[in-house]
Amino acid sequence: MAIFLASVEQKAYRMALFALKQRDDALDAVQDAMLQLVQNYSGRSESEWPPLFQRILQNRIQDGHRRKRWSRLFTPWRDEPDETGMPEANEVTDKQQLPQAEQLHQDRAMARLQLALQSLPLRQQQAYLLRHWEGLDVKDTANAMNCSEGSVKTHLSRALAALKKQLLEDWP
Amino acid sequence: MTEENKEQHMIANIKRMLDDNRLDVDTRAALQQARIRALVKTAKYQKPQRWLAFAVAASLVAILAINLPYIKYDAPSTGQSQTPKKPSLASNTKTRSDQHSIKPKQTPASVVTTQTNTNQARTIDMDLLENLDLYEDTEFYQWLSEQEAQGDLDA
Repeated sequence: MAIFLASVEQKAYRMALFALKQRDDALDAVQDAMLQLVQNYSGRSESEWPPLFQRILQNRIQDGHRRKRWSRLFTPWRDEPDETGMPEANEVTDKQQLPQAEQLHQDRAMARLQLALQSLPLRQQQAYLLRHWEGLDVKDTANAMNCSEGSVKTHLSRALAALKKQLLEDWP
Repeated sequence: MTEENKEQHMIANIKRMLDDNRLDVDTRAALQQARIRALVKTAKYQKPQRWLAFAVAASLVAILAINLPYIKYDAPSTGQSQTPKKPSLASNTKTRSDQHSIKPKQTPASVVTTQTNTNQARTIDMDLLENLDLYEDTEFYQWLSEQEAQGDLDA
């Protein structure tokens, strides 16, 4: 179980961060999902873990998103900082070895991609990331999102249209 | 490049970029901590449950073992409530006359029930009669004391 969690935690965190936009909220969502998976489904076979984990995580993300929307409704003066932005200076990545111009170009592209993904409605974002990043098929995506396959296809086509509109013009 | 190809190219590009973009050290450490916390919390959560189940089962067995000799049960044929009796010395030791005496035939369960009911009724009647006798005696002694009191007054 520990190995499985280690293999999925980074992607899970990124998905949660795209949706919730705050580091702590995203970490909470991932930890909750891990906890629930270990508590309730550790007895299941390993092949069942990925879809179960995705389903729990997407539920947590949705809960968090709903909570944020409500809190924003009641305290509109509170401006929450967006913590998904550009990579920080102390970040240790392979990019440090790239030439400076290329790195700058990539960072810009990444920032645009993050903005584009964040601007999508939650369900479209979930559908796109699960289907095209996580690599789930339509059925598993629908299962993780707790909706029908038709809904997944609709969300996905809308997400693609929006991303195309935002990214295709001058994007690598 | 057709529209569909463009779309596929964009999807592949996005996937590559998301995969390449690694998390910073702090976030990775936080995630690792979260994972360990989830695993440890679950282990802590599960341990007392097992002990609790064991403790409950053990105490139930103990209670049952202590109370088993005193539990009343219904005999299936007679419907009577019976309490198993402790074997007494008198019933175990057979006298010579018992050994040689002719034992009566075992009566069926329904007959036993009727007999028991009759015996119970008899016992109740006897109690009533005894009480009535006592009451009559009390009445008599009361009358006698009154007479004596009157005699004293007459005298």
